[in-house]
Amino acid sequence: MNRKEFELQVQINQEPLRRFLRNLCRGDAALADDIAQEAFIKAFLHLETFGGRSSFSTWLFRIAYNCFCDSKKAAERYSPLEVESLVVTASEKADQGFEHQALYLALDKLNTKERTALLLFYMEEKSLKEIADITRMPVNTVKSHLSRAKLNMSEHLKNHRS
Amino acid sequence: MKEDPIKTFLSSHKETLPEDGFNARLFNTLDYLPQPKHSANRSPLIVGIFAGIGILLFVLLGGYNALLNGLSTMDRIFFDLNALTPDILSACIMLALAFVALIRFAARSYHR
Repeated sequence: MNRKEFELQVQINQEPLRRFLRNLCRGDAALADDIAQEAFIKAFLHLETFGGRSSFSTWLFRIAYNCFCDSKKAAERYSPLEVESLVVTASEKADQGFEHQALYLALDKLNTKERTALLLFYMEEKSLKEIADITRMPVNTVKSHLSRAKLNMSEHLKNHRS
Repeated sequence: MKEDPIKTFLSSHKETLPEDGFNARLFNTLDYLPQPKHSANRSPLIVGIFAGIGILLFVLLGGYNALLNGLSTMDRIFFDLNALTPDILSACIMLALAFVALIRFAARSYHR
């Protein structure tokens, strides 16, 4: 893949990738875009390792998910206070974008793996096999995360309605 | 058919993100990075070389005659399992592995 083909892939994949990361970061647009930039740069630098065994989009989402996990780990390791403040920031940002407040609050009830599986399956319309490739988990593990996520979110939605 | 409430909820909150200069910022950064190396797919070449070596050895070592002799004695194996010598057994295993490798290569090339 050359630079031109890569730029085409950026144009195709930037929106779904940024949306996925933004939802994963519970509405923190700046952090999500930083992770997306990092993921695209890593993909560009390691283009020769893309073997074509999965689609380019799946490969890119896998890099982005790894970048997100690294950033989360670094935030937890170096400044535990920052993680707490991140949650507050997410809630504040949710207040600003009222139309997405309900979504971010619902996603807040799930852990990272559940959130990832749910967002990829329902919002980004990835198959179970693709989600397994992205998260490097067996398909059955993805299924169980997805079913737990659905259960937790259903409960939250029920409570929210009542 | 009952609609999945979670699917409906997530679909209704699916954002359409404006590009907001994201691509331009990224492409500017890429200008300062080393350009990707073009890695050629060498597997057809490797398969071709080894297939050529295999055919050459087959011809030079009288493989055709050995094959005919082998095939003519094959029927004995079905009647008498003691006729199944280690060299016949290993030849059968190698042949099966060669077929598996060939089918896998063809399937991968087709999917690419």
